[in-house]
Amino acid sequence: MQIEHLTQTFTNGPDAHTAYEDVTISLEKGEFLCIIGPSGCGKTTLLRSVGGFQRPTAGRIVVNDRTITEPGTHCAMIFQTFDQLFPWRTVLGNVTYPLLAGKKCSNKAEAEAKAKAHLAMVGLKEYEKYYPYQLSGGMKQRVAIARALALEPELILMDEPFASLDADTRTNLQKELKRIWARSGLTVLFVTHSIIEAIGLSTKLLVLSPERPSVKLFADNPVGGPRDAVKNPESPGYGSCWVMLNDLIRH
Amino acid sequence: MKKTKKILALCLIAALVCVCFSGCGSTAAPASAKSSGTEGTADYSGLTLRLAAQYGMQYAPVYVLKEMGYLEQLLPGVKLEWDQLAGGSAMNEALISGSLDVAFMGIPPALIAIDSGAAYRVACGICVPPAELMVPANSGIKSLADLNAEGVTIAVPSIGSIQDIMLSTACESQLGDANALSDNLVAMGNADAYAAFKTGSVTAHFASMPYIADEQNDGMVSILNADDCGGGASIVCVCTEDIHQNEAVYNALLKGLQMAVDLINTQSDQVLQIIASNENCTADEARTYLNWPGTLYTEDVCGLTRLGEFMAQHSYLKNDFQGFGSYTWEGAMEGK
Amino acid sequence: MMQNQNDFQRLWAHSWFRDFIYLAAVIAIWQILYGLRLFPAMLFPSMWDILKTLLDETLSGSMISKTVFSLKLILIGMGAAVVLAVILTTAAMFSKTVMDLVSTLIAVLDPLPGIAILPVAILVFGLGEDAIVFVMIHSIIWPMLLNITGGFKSVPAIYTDVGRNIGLRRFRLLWGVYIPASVPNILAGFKTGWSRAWRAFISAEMVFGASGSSGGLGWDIYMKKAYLDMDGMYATLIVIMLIGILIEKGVFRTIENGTVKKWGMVA
Repeated sequence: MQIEHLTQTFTNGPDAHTAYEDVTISLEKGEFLCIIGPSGCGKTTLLRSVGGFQRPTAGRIVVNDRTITEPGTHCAMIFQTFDQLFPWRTVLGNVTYPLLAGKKCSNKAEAEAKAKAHLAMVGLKEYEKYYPYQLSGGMKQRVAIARALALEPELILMDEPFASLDADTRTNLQKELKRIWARSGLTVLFVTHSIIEAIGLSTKLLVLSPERPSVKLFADNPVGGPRDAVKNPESPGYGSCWVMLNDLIRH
Repeated sequence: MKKTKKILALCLIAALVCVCFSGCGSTAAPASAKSSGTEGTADYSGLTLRLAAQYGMQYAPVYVLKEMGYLEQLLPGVKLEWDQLAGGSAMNEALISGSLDVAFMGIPPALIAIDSGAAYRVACGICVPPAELMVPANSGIKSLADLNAEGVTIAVPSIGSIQDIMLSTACESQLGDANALSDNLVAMGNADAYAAFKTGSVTAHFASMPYIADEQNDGMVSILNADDCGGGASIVCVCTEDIHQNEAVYNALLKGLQMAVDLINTQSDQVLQIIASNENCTADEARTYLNWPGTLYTEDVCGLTRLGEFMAQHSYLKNDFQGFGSYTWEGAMEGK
Repeated sequence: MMQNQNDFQRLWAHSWFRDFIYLAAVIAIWQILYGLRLFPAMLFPSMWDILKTLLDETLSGSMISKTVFSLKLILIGMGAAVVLAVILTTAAMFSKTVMDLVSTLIAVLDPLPGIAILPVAILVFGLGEDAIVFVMIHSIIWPMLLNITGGFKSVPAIYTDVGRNIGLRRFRLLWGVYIPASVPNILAGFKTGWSRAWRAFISAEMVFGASGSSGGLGWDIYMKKAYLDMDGMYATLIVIMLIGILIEKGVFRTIENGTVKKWGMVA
């Protein structure tokens, strides 16, 4: 995936501003990129642009040699809000329907089997017949993750998906996500506020800034450790990486 | 605790509703007829008379009464409130609920109301109008029997109107069954019926003046008239018990109408002008209407007994026909 | 606290018991008003007479045939209006021009009462059921369109984003996201349409009546008024109210339970 000279300017309203300017990065398949930065630096906007939801003012985004101009099945997006499930479908239905809609599965039985497997993976096996309004925020988020993962997309976009969850759930899901990613060769773009999360999950780091230049850092994650595990403070190089990121972001 | 509160609330609501409605009820009581004194000399400025009529040549005496101001002359200072109500049944409701004192309508709605227990009676007639059943000239319909078919629609001003009843009487004498054509009836006001008749939406129109003349000018023909139904029937003036009790007002009403009828029968230019302006026609047309065969302007009440007996016999009325006197105030003259 | 609940309070918890009490209260108040003769007895008859007339007419079948006649025409009107609404809203979602046109039509035609359209209807369709159905469709469709397009316009962007993300476009997006998300509005549109249909039907029949041996409940009211059969007139009004209650509780409530309530989408 390549992002070339991406610029985004918002011109409507009294506070017209440029979110970011001339962002150029390139990503190999299978990478886990964490996008981090202070509030207002355009992390979510950048992610939405990759998803096709935001038309860039200048520049372009190419995924698998295709320029992205509108939303579609080239990626699976997990949005920031809890309420991204269809309230008129059961938990199972919410995972099954996209599989059939996007033609990833050819019949209902196949789709349901896949959906059930992924729901079990995120720990929601008993809640298949529930409706979203009956679930807690964290559970809804897990369904959204199951939905995205079940699609087995080449590119997953996640917008601070664990931000509103409690610490335990977050830790578990981070572990789960890393395992699944390691196994499946997905490419992940992960927006987060948390340095710890960025270091823990990523193979590549992108630090955005509200000042110019927009890209403060684009590099491999220097911290070592097994691919399928979340990097923790015991991992070599953790501390210095943390300090570096902290400096970049807080100043 | 909750239970008593609920019951209390219900009682409160019930009491409120009663109070509200009792407020409504009292204003409906006719506070109008309370003036006294001999006519012509006394002052009737405290008196309000509420009257209602419709439009059409059969109400011509009412036009004259209004425009010539006879009631104002006979009852100096009186306040007249004229209402335009759509049909006999609306007038009946107004009379029964006490919001109307005097009304002009056909005989059948009056009989239906009196038969049901209304406290008003017929004071006098004002006109015996012509009534003709019109069909298009080239329709091939020559008699009632031709109309007795599926899909045929006959427009009458309303159900229970004089036209409806007259048609039934003719059906009985010609077809042997009073209800033969009741499935074919459509209720439409004269103006709407005229329009529908012209465009062919209805097959036939039981019309009154001036529509009879207009439709004949359009090439329609009449296959039935009042004589075929046993004779014409009056448009009558009815008034409530209260008005009747007030001798001065009652007599003024009768006298005023008589003056109007007399003036019409002179067919003076003034009368023709009054009719022309109310009916939106020329004076010559007004003259033609007045002279239409079967037209009679008189205070005699014609056809009440005949219609009353027919209606009672065919269950339009709940009770047997009680005789002319039971439906009129004393002094009403019976015509042919 | 629980032990202190007596039988009455336990029963009160059931909605059917509450309805029964309210109904009994209304009948009681009516009889009181009747007894007090606040209105002339000719126009305000005793509730027992009304109920007796209702029973007689139901048993004789006349009330039933008139109800069936009315329902038949009203359902035809509803059906036609729904089909038209579906076509128009779909077109409006795909074309801004159509959406603007629909908005203008709603603004201009919705305020017109059905009775005002009746003469036009008679001119075009002649006297009879077609004209009544036309008037009904006019009364139903504008508020229905307003509700449905309003629903579509207020579908949260997140749902359409997700929909597009999983590959839905145009028709499939409409069917898969817009329509289910707007079910509360669509239902509201239906309810409004249903009541409008009834009112249009009754008043159309009362104005120009129906020829033919049957006719519906509107014509029935007209006839009874003409003959000052007030018992019968109120009996017919009760039938209309009963039908309304039945449809509300039987049909709409059931649909709501199966959709909006089940999904937790109640406002």
